[in-house]
Amino acid sequence: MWLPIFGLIIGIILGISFAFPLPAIYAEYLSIAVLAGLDSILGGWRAGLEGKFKSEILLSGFFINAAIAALLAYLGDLLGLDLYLAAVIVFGLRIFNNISSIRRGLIERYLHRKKQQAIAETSVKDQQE
Amino acid sequence: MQKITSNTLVMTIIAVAVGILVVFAIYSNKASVGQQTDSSSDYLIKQIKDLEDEADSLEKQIIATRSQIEELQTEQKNSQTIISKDEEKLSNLNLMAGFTDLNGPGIIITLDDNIEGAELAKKTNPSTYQPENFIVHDKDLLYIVKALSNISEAVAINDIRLVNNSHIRCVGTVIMVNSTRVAPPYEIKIIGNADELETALYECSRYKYLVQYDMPIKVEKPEDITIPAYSGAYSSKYLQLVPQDKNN
Repeated sequence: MWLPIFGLIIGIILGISFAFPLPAIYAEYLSIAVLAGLDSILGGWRAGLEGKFKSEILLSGFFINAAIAALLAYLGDLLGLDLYLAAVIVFGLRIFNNISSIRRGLIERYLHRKKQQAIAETSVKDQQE
Repeated sequence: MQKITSNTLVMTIIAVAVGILVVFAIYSNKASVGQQTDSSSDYLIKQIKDLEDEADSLEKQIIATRSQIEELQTEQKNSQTIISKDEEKLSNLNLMAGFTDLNGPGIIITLDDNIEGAELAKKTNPSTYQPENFIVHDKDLLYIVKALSNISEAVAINDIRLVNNSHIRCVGTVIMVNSTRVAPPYEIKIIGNADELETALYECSRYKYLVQYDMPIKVEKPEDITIPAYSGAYSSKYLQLVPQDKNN
């Protein structure tokens, strides 16, 4: 499970070595796409923890969410409304939800393992005794 | 395990993509913030330049308007001088045309009918008495006035101004000057050089003729004679100006 985090770090390093400033008008859309990507990754992680992970859903979610968020921002630009804020709020909420779910899942798994270890140890002790 | 690794691979790929995206987003955002400040300062600079240009053009306009005003003022001055010249001309013309009261030195010739001579002739020699030999005729006035006309500046008979279209006629028993009847004694007022007028009068054949007939003639040379304005009008019914440019 540490591979994706390494991947993120590698991506950041790649970005730093290759990044060039895009035109200002795309910055907003890019930020939203970043949020969508983060949400997708965290969602994937959460799904993995919950045992519901499907790569198709992750990939489609990543691209389509990013695209729709960017589209929404563009529409907002056209209408003169800050519609991208809606995407920001939704993705923000989802990111928080995902993170809390991941935290819960990780903690539960940890506790479960500890419990199992304790049971195993006691059973081992029992067997020894 | 196989499935988990492939899933992890997908996750990793997406993570790499997200990482790149994050960096790009941060870069672009920084750049855009910089650009925004740049563009806003550019915008302000442009605005300032525009306003300065506008101020410049307005100043130029002010200068142009001022010079225009000056031009108009000089033009006005010119036209005023033209107007004053024209007025001067007009007043001169009025003076010449006899539209104004005038005064000045000159001569007053007073002619009267020879009443005494007529009565005497009637008594002494009634058969040869001819009354027209003892009265003043229109021709007497006309000839005297015409004889002096080249040196007289203004002429009036019994305070009727003579101008260039005036006439002196005999209408039955009275004399008409400018279609106004005048009666003896006839007082011919002439403004001009009094001495020259006097000599001219004495050299005039009509004067000599009148003296010969013992007509009472009185000559005065006052310092100040007043001659009234011509009260009639000039006819210009058939007159037409010759166009100036054709004339040139």
